[in-house]
Amino acid sequence: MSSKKRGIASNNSNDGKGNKRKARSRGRGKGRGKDPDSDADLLEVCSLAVDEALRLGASEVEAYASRSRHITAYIESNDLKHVKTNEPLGIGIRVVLNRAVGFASVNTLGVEKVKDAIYTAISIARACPADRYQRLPTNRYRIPTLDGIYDEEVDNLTVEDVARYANDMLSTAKEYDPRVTVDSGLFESSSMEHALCNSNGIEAWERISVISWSIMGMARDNGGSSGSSGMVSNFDVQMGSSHSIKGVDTITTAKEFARNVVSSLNSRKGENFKGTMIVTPNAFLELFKDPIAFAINAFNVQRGASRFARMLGKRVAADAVTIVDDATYIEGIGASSFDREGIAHRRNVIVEKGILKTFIHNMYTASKAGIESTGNAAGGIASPPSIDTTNLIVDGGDVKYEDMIREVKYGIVINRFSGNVNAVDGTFSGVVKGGHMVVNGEVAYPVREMMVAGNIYDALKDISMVSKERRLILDSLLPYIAVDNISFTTG
Amino acid sequence: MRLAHVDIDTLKLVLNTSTAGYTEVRYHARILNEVRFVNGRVERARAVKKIGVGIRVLNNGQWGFSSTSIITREGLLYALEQALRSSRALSNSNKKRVEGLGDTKLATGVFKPDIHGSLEDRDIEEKIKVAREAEQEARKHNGEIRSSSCLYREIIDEKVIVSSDGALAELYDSKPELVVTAIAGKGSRKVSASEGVCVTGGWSDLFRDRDHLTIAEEAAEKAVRLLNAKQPKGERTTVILDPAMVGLLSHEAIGHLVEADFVLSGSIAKDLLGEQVASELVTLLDSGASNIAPNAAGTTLVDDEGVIARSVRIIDDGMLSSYLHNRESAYIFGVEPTGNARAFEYDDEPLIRMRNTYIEPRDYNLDEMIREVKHGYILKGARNGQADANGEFMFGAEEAYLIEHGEVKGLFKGVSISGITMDVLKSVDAVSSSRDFRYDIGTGYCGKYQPMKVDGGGPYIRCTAIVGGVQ
Repeated sequence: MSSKKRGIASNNSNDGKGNKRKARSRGRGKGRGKDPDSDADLLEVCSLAVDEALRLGASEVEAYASRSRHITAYIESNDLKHVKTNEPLGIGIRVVLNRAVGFASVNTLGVEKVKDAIYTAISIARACPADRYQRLPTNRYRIPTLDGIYDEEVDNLTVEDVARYANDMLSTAKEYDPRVTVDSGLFESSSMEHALCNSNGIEAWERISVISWSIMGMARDNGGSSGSSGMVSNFDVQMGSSHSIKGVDTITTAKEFARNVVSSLNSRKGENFKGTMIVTPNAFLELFKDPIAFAINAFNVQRGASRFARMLGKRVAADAVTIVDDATYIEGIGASSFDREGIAHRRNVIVEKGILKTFIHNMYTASKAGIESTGNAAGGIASPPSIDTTNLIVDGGDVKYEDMIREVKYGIVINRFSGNVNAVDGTFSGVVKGGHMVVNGEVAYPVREMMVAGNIYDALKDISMVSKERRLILDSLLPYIAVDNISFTTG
Repeated sequence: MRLAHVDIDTLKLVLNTSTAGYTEVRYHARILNEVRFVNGRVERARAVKKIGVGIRVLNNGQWGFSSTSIITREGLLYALEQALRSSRALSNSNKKRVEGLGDTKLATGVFKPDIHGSLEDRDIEEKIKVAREAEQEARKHNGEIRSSSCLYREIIDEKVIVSSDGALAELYDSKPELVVTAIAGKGSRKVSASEGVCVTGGWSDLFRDRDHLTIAEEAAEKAVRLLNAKQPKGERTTVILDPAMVGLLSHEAIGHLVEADFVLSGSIAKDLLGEQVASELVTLLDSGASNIAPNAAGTTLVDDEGVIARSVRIIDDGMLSSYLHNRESAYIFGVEPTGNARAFEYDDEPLIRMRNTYIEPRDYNLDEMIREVKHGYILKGARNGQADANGEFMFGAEEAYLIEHGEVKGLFKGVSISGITMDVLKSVDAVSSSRDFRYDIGTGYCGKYQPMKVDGGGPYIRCTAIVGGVQ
């Protein structure tokens, strides 16, 4: 028996262990077909799984379980399509045996099926070669509870409520302008609890609620001849999210979407040129997030795949750029108290004024590097822990967005980017979506059939302006940026 | 043939209990096994079981969907109640009703693709060995290879679909894949390249054309080749697309635009049925079967509404002749369903998705196609692609070979290509023969709320598009 009751992260205010358990099983219990497994206490299931795996010969074990309830309303072809409910649950078991690791997961908490998964994980570990850096974290610090990421009112949302929110978003977009056509969208309320135990005494549990919504489509000017591409705008996608019902604002999202598609109607073809790209937060996500997340991932650094390998303490971005990974930023939906290995989440400054300060680690890469994990172990119940960003935050700069435009002689505002970015060498190439030409400090006209290409890692160093304004998109808080000397091709 | 691991009478009980006009119950047991080696170490080795039942109802013209992993009488009836409640949630809104579902003969019986070398008969040691050897082969291939990885993944599905319209189908599927990625480096420069294969079939089908070591060598060779390559110049020019790129073109430039749900939202294909949308050389299909070449990764015998998957001639000698349908859209358009309703896992509802999308071969040969080009590129190896409502699509190539005066010159880095569907398809002036035909985009997934295994391919084709390079 190895599980010690320490380091529980709980969003319930009562301190007694018994009360916590009670609080956990309260508030759910909405049917689920009366299956005893489905009402099981997650920490108890994890703890039993750890004991069983140890009994079967594993030297270290980790069990991670989650259970959630989702109600999703889908929009399709300018209409509500359907509402879907889903209550998934399951457990993932990681065993270390002779320094080799095996992992198995199953979408039930039934004792026999969990046992089968343990056998499978052990047989995989027996078949895999050893790796001396494989180890599980030990229970050294209490995990502080993160408040503000669970709203119990979300549990009370009904299918009717969710359908109404989706409908409000849809009609707001449609009423904005008759030319707006909504291809698809959704509104989803989710309430989840997750728990983790390992054989080194880590035990963590918490509950998180997330409400998210998105809307996608185009504007279609029926006055135009069919097949003429300027008469149908580019797609635009807008998203929003909140941990609480109070934070739901589908109206702003719908209006932003509608404004974007209507303003990109009657687009014109531009010309080939080199100039400034003004990257909106949405386009920043599509262009920069993956390569940044790849390059700062310690696993990629250690395997020699990251462009930032051997760059700690060196310049990787312009002076105006500060990048932080922060799972304790509760506005972002990447917020939670502990990571996929049960390590307390914390704020990590990755790039400060252009200088690379740290990589993001899980236990494996941290033990290889001889340091502590940064709490970036990531993944769900169906995968062993990988490494990822939590909430990616880029600090705001000192220029107002409108002043940024005014500074640009010749360039394009990229609202969305549709293309390929190679995270290893940084090359990117793709289509500018919802693009607007900027000429002598003024937004001139919407462009179409415009491609953009360059190198992300060079672009990071060439960022000339960062806006004061920032936008939260799910788990990213991003400003507008400007980069000079970028190639645009229209052929 | 083994029997499904579920009591079909329990599934039928849901049909008999449901008060909805149409009810569909889908049991789906998925096993996913995966091992990934990186630089000689196991990055991950996992076995994932995901088993459950999805229930969809059409109740007074409104859909409702729910699912459960608790496959007992109580669990299923609870999920049914949830699905019915969801359908009622919409009846008070001003939303359009679903007036009917397209008629067709629904599948009954047992369906299983040809599988040579059952994956379940191979033990885990053998799969680990193959991934380990392939990774090592790529890494040791050349002094310039800095890092390599190999992913082996297999997805084994068992489904039972019953519907109140009479579908009663037991489906089996098996899709293994192997992907090797090599990273070459010189100084601070680094490039990556991948090679891989995914099939519908078994172990022998996976390695029928190339063994794992050959795939590894090809990935390493490609990375080394690309190490000195620069980004090409951006311009509108002639491009020759390899079978992988043709698969991606078929999928992105036309496939998405003809998904009937997208047509109903106003995609550019809306007014084009019966119109000439491509050069007469272009005949483009989407098929549940693996036509022309075997084992395509998107192979689907029966869709998730229990409709037998048909071959759909989307473009016939340049004329747009059909959309891709589920039963709902087929009813609206007054046609027979095409078997394109697919759900990724038990807790996903069926959506209109592609299967194997390809361009039919003609009679050109590749050398001839190159010889006739004054200036242009041959584009090889598929990366990501995306379609847009206005017909503007993009897709990426891994390698771009410059052609000058009929001869293949230097190699450039991969680029994205874009164009307007009709402009590009009408510019097709050469399509090579069946000798070159292959499916080659099976290692990826297509995303539309749910991921999905699809495939695509063709022979080589020549057309005009914008190359997204540097100025």
